[in-house]
Amino acid sequence: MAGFDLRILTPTKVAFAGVAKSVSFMTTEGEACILRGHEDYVAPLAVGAVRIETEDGERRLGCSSYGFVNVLRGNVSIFLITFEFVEEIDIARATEGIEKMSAIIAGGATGDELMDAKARHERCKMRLKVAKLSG
Amino acid sequence: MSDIKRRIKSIESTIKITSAMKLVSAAKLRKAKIKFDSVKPFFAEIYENMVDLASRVDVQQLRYVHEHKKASNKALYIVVGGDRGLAGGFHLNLFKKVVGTVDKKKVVTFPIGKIAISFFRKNGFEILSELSGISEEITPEKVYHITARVLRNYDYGAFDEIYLAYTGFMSTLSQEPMIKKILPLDFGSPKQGGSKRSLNYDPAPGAVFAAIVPQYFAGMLYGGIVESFAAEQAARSNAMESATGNAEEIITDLTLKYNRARQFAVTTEIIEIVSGGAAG
Repeated sequence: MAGFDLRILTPTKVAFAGVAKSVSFMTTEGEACILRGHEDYVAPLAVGAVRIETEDGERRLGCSSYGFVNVLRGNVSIFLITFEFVEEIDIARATEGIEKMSAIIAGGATGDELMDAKARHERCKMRLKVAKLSG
Repeated sequence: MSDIKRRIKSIESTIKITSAMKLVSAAKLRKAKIKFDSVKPFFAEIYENMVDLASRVDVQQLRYVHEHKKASNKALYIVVGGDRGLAGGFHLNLFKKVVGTVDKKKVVTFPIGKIAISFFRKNGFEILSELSGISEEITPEKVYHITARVLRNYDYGAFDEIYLAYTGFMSTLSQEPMIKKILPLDFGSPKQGGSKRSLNYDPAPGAVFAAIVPQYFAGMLYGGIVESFAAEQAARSNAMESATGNAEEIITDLTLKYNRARQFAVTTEIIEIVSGGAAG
């Protein structure tokens, strides 16, 4: 086998389950890439782009929120709050989300509402960025 | 006879209610089952991964992995119930399991759902916080705020351990109360054949656990709430089905009694007429 087992899970779906040749993502410390035979590894993830090269050479691009990656005996599990492949990103919704969340933040929201708005704003911005990356 | 008729009518209207409730909970169950099937892999795998990670920590006194230094000697039990009754033994089984596990003086509870809130209040348990009306429309984001607040209390040392009590959805016909330890992550010795290979943390272990535990905790609570809601709907659907069945049996029995009484009345009347005629 030329790759490793990769699973990307969120509380609402199994976003990816298959064999990959490589996967790269944004950790809280910077970008990291996992190839076959990687040592056991655990790291928290930040909002960012996820790049997967599948067993048959297909390159897929996705957008992650906060979570963590765990490499165990060569198998990679990525747990995230949300994940979307670039083809699933709704650009109009993300643009609208940025406007809405900016208004909430500027409107003096506090506590959970502010925290939520900031997190959503960050995710929407990253969705647009990832969508742009794919051209 | 009119008394029996009244009882039959009353039971017939009960059947209408239980049948309607069965239909509603069956529809809710279908929706809840889809949600539960989506969260199941995440719920199971994140727990397994955390158990494995915790079993490989070789640093002493790591926050979230090892016990607090200043022990408060209290454990927090987050008990996920429902907002409505009439679900058979759904709530009772869960509460029995919790009450049978804990020492009341050494426990702080966080009931979720109106029935759980009422039970723990009535029985004099210490309550950290309570939430109701959230299970059906729960989202991972909402749960994240709840767990963040609980973790702040854990960090201050309000309690040393966190447990999640919920009802597992085994099948439509079977639901089982469960208690899972959430924190600290020292789940005892690693499983046989478990990994003791070296693990590379990025950044340092303390910072990694501080960052991933909130995600893990939110994922576990979200999974527990979704699974409990599916189990509750299944339990209610089953309870309403058997209530409808029982009511139908009673109606059959009462109809038989009614017919016998009617027959007796007719026979008596005929005898009276015949005896009256003979006497005349």
